[in-house]
Amino acid sequence: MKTPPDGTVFIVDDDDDFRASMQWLLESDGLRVTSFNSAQAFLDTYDGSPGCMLLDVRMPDISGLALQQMLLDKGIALPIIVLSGHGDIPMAVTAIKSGAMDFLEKPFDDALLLHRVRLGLRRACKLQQQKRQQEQTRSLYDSLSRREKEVMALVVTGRANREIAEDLGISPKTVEVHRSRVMSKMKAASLPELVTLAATLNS
Amino acid sequence: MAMTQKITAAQHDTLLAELDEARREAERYRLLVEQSTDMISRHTPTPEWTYVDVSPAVEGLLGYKPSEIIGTPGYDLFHPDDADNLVKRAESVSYRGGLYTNVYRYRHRDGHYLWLETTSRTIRDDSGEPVEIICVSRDVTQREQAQRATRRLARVVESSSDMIMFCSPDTLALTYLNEAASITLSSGPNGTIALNLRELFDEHTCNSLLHDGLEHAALHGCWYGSIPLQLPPGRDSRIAEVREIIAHRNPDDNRRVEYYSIIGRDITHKRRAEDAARRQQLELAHMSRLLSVGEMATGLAHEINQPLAAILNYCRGTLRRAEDGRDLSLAQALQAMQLIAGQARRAAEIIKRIRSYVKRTEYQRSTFSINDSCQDVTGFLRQEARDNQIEFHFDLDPTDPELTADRIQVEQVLLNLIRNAIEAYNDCEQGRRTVTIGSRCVEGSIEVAISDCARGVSAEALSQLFDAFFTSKPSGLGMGLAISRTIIESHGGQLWAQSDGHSGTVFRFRLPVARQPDQ
Repeated sequence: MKTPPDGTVFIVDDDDDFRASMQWLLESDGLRVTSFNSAQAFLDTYDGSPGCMLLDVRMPDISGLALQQMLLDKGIALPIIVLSGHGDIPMAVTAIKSGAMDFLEKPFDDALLLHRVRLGLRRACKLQQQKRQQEQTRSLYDSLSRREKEVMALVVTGRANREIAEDLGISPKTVEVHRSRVMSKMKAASLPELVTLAATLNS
Repeated sequence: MAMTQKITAAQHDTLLAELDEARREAERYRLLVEQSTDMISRHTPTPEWTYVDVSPAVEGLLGYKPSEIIGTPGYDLFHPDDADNLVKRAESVSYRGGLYTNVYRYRHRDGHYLWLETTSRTIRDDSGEPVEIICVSRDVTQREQAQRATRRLARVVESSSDMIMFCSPDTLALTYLNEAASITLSSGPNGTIALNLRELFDEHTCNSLLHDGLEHAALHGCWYGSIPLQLPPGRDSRIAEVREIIAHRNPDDNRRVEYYSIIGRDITHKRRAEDAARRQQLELAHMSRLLSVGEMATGLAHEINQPLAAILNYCRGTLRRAEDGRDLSLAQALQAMQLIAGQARRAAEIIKRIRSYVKRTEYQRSTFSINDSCQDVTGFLRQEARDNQIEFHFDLDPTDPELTADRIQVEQVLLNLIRNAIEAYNDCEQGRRTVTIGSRCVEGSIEVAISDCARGVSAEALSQLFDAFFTSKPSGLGMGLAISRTIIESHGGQLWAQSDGHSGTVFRFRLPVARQPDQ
């Protein structure tokens, strides 16, 4: 038996029978499943925990595609597998363009679905890690003083200490001190590492 | 010879008295002749038929004074068609005991013709040679015209397209059939014609409808209605019915019925045309159902896909549990089976609904709840409504009225109207998209209203809405509303639309609750 992956599968579908059957299938693979009968129900209760979403395109009130857009707007990054009753090419294109991981037509091959779901959960895991890392970096960055932040911004653009001293109107010696503090506070071992961290902050 | 012999005075007196008597007698005959309204005339036995003498009645009859006409040829005054009646032994000539009677047209001095009836005798000499012809003529114009009118009436009866039969009151034997009746009644395989009214009906009809009809006519003079005839089935089997019975009663004999006139109508052609029209309408309705199912195919496919996908999920989910060797309890497996069965039923239900909808059916009347039909049809359109974010609202009559009609056809109209209402929102940015389906009982009718709150229909479009091939949809054929109206009207109802042109449209139809007799 496989080890259950981290993360939850979120099913959003207004068809009660279908939702129940999905849960039955996914749970047979040892997955953790939470289901919602509408986009609104999901929005109301989602707590930001990691997972992968199985989303029905056709739903009353808020359609699958609309929910996808709302999640993008809210910055909720969940890998989404869009499900449709029949191959609706324009809809599939829209969904994929908006960042959906996949588009599956009902009824689908269970092995394929489960494979994709696991893929989605792994991606969710990675996203979760990235997010955690970003938060960590953010808190490190927040511990820098105003001057240190200024120095860091210039350092990651590749400028030499002397140039930075000129720009900020301080002595190169002082720049050197700020720079070593930035490196230790941001827990960066090298300049490339600091550049990567800075990039994370901006994403 | 007697005159040369001597006679006695007594004999002389007697002779004088006889002569006197003869004179008086002659005078009486003369008076008789002169005062008779009949015209008495003498003619030469020649083809010219020249007047030798004529009584004064000639003036009243023909407008001539005797002096004007004596010596002129009588032949010239005959109507050209009647001049040679005697020679031709025409129908109007009869002969009895040396007397010919002839009825003919004869010209008046004014130029118009009158009908004369003339009795003539040819006076012959000892050798048998004709000497002269004596005629007595009278004006029979009025009588002749009356007879001609009667003959015309008889012809009207004979050639009427209605079936007309005379029938004796006690035996019900048929004494006369006009041409139309003969043709219709002899349409059986062997061409025999019924001789008795009873043979035209089945026994039950005879004893009920026909009996009552005759009785009513005997009492009131006539009876109107419709009694179907039972004609022998054959290659050219006809459909006919009795519509009227007239009892001809004798006023002098206690108003006893002398005979009945039975008037009927052969409705074969009418019935066939109606049947053809009905078949055509069924065909058209069927076509339109096929078309609308075609148009709804996407939604219907989705509807069927849902339970199929669910079944697959339950199956694979159960198999996986078993394959993995995890504990799959019997209870769990059974539960999955039950869920699968439920989904299979759901799919079958959808298919059944589609099949019964597209089935080619004969016109079938049944009694059903109009509210149920409204609900069923919206079930059919669930997917389409979901795709278009439509919400159905029901405003149904709480008494749950029942309707007697062809259920499939009525639901076809409902489906059509509701789909139209959904499509009305197509080019319309509107948050609340509702389609309201209402039913209510109004004075022996059921009225159904389908309303939308889309942009409405312009007055101009409203007037064309029910024309065939009128459509506002890019993919529509424009037959839906035309067919819907035909269906409703063939059920004795009406279908119409109302719109203010900007905030919505209401389609209403009204159908009689009670069963309408078939026409």
